[in-house]
Amino acid sequence: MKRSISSPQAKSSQPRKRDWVHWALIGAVVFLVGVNVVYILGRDGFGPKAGERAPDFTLPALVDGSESWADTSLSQFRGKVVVLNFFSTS
Amino acid sequence: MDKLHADADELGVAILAIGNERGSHDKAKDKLAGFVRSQGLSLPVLLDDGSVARAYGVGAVPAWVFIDPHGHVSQTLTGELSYDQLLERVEKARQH
Repeated sequence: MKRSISSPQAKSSQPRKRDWVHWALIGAVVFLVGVNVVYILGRDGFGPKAGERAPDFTLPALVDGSESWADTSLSQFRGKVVVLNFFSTS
Repeated sequence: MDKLHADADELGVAILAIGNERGSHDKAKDKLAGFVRSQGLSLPVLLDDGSVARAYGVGAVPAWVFIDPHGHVSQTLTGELSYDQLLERVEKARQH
């Protein structure tokens, strides 16, 4: 009698533990993939596509070889074609 | 790109060079100002801490973004461009 009560308990607790491990692993994989996607999206190659609005910005600028910095915004040039040239001095 | 700037008014184009400099803001400004002086550049040179490059999805330089007169992106590309290639893309952006 004692045996028949304890054995179903032992049987049911093991699969439940395995389920828990199973879902924890799936959760960990989903989390890691998510972190990678966020990292890659934030890094490069995912800016506005052709036809999408160009994000406005305001940055300090040297204009006409001047020595003093003046804030320049993209929105100042509305009505003109604007060419942005991203470069690095190093 | 300075040549394009020289012709920019006539073409109805604004060309903005955006320098991405790491380090402190003041050091980055000094470095960029030195570069502008040494190259004798007359076009607007803007200092970016990386946030504008990120907003445009720029990962490698040189990179170019052509924006039409309505403020929409016409084309984005990476690599060196000749003056004629620049003009061609400017005209394409104008027709958007």
